[in-house]
Amino acid sequence: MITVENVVKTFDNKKAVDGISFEVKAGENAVLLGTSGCGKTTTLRMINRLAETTSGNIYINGKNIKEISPEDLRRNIGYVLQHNGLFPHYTIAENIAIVPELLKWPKEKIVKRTSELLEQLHLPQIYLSMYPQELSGGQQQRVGLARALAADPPLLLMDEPFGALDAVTRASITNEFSQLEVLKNKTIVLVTHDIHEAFKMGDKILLMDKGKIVQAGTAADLLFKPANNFVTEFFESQRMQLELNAVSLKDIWPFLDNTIFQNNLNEVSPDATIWEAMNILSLKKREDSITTNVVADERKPAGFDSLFIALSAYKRHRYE
Amino acid sequence: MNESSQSLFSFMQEQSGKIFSQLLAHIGLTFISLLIAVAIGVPLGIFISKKKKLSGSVLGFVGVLQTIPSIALLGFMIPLLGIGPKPAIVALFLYALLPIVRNTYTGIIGVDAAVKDAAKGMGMSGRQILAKVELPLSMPVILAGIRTATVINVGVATLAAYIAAGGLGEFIFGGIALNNTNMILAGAIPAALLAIVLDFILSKVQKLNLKKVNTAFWLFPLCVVLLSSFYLLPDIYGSKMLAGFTPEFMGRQDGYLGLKKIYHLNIRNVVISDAVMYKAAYEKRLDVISGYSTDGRLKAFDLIVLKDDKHIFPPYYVAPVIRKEVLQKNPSLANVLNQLAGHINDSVMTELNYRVDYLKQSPDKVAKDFLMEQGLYKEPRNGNSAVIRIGSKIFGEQYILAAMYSMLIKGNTDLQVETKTGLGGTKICFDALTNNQIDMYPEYTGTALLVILQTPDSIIRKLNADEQKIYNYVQQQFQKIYNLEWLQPVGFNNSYALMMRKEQSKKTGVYTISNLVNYLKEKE
Repeated sequence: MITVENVVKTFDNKKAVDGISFEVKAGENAVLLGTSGCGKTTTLRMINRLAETTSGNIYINGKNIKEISPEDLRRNIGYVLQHNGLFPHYTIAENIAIVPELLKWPKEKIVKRTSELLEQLHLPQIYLSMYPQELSGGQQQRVGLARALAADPPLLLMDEPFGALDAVTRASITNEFSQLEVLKNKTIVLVTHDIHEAFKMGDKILLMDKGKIVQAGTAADLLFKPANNFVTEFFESQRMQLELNAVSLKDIWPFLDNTIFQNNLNEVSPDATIWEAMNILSLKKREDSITTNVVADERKPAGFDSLFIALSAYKRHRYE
Repeated sequence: MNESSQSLFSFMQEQSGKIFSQLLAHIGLTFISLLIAVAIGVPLGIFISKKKKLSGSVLGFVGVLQTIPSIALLGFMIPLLGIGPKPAIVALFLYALLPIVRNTYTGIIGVDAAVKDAAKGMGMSGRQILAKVELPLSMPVILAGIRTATVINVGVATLAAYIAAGGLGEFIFGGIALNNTNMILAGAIPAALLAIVLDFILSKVQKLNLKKVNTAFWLFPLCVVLLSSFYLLPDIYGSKMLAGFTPEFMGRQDGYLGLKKIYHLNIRNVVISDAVMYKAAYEKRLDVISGYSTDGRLKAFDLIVLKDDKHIFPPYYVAPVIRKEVLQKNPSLANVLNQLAGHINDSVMTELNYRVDYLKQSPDKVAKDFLMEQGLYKEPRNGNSAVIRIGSKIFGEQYILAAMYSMLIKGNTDLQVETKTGLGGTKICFDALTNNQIDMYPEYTGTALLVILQTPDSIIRKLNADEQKIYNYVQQQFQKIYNLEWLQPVGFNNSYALMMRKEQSKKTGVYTISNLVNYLKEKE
């Protein structure tokens, strides 16, 4: 879907982005992760030509974006900003309708689409006639997403979409977004400095430093097979939680013991991470086990011990 | 108090037609210039918000325009655009420019960067961002700028009367010149009310809901155009002769009123400031003007005085008027000041005025040269006795006289001198004297008789335009009423006079006021 080829961006003779290349496949969620000033936002903005490349090329579906007018290019890419950027003088309905209006959709289609989006993003219809400042930060961010999705673009660019929210709202809305049905088939490039957010949202993480991609891969790849010391140190302070978050029950399925089978255990989705499974265990009082199934009709119970053992086995098996 | 407010009311009632037409002219002037300022200022503001490198120099330039004193700006306009509404509108436009350009610029710069970024990121073109995002969001700030400009313009537009553009300034300046408080208020009150009302209306527009601002944005220019049309451009550039009279001359019995009554003169005329009148006549913008017989510009601009064959202009002999208290404290002062008496006749004064007004020599230099020539000049003693405060009206002759008196006092006594020159008019000068703000200033017998004392017609007739009788009368009255002393007259008579260009006078054969009246009648 997106191919970035050897892209360089200089500001006043300083290289903000220094020859990076990567690819994002259709339907994939790629996260540009890094500390401030590492060039991740610039990289994102070059994809919709809010910043122009100094050298190198970017292709979307095989077409060089330099050959598309910036306006046309942007109208077909959803864009979500940190400070939502909602128009304060437009109602929610009008805000969501901006791109469809630019694309000159018929009025009825726009009305239908706006109310449909509100529903998909779990926002009540009465918001349509309200103004952004009447909504809470989290709600505004959802409207910002609705606006980006309005013309149903296949590609979404998100620039620190949850960056302006408080920690609690941020966690819950990240969770919610990661599960939204409307985002399932989209190709997403997301910029964040938050490791947890990156792990939650990203199929593929591109860890950047000083304008270069240091390592690209899944969360587990970065954790368990770091390319260099920078990568190791980047995750150091939160390693345990990250590891537990990076691996799902599905991944450790082969390493779970299924000898003892107990009935009436809580069933957890195989897509849940070990961290989530442990959270459930933590909440329980007497039983120290949960169960999951990957193959139909086959279940395996798990407790704290068995989960840790399975994780170690998984790491050994996969990365050594 | 009751009586005076009653008379103000009756004055305004009596003059309501004139007040109304001046008010309309005032509104028209304000809004035509505002319209042009918005039409140019808003796009300019937008332009510099896009080309930020230019913003400093453009804002600096319009800022400098704002600092030019309004009367000077009007003066600059005369050679370029003549007199009448054109230069007034241009000057008002220049004043309105700064608040409009600056507020448009700050308004657009101040639009939330995230919102602009979002607009761009969604694929809006620069033009769409401007129309749908930047302008609507900066509209309250832009409207605030327009509001400021409107209020400034209502104020500055009063000065338009100086260059024959009409408006409420005609009453205000006429009133100041004629010592007529009611007349001043009849112009000032409507002008102040106009400013307050417009400010109020615009504050309401400014606070409209953001949504409705879009509508207001289109409605506003419409209203402005409508209001501009109030200014039915005074029909100035006609075929017949055009006269330009000062506000003072317009309202005086020994001025236009007398010309109408005694000579039955009926000439199309505009109200104009003394400062630009002579030049306007020279440049053929005006044909007949009301000037002063010793004015240096008479010589400079090749004008001649029409003979007052029916003697309606009373003599205007100048003499220092001084507070009695000051004379008592400094008995030698009277003799010192009287040294000048009889030394200056009409042609000498015209010559001195010519040096100041036209050759641009400083009044101090002209005064010193003259005193030296006459053997009256003495080096200042630099004494440190009491301070004598000398005032003067705002024209060259008065500056010269004030400078001469100052030199005489400094050279002959140990007194110190402080000059307060350039006091706006008779009323301002005289009030300063009676309120102990100055100690003396040169005044004219005619002015004292008619403007200050407001002498009834019956007494004026008895005085029979005799210079000595008039001098004695004003001297007595001033002593009696104001405790002020008239010293000896300097010698020249600077009376009102009608003037024309020499060559036009020759061509038309108009040498006297009666000739003029007949010439105008023939034409009709």
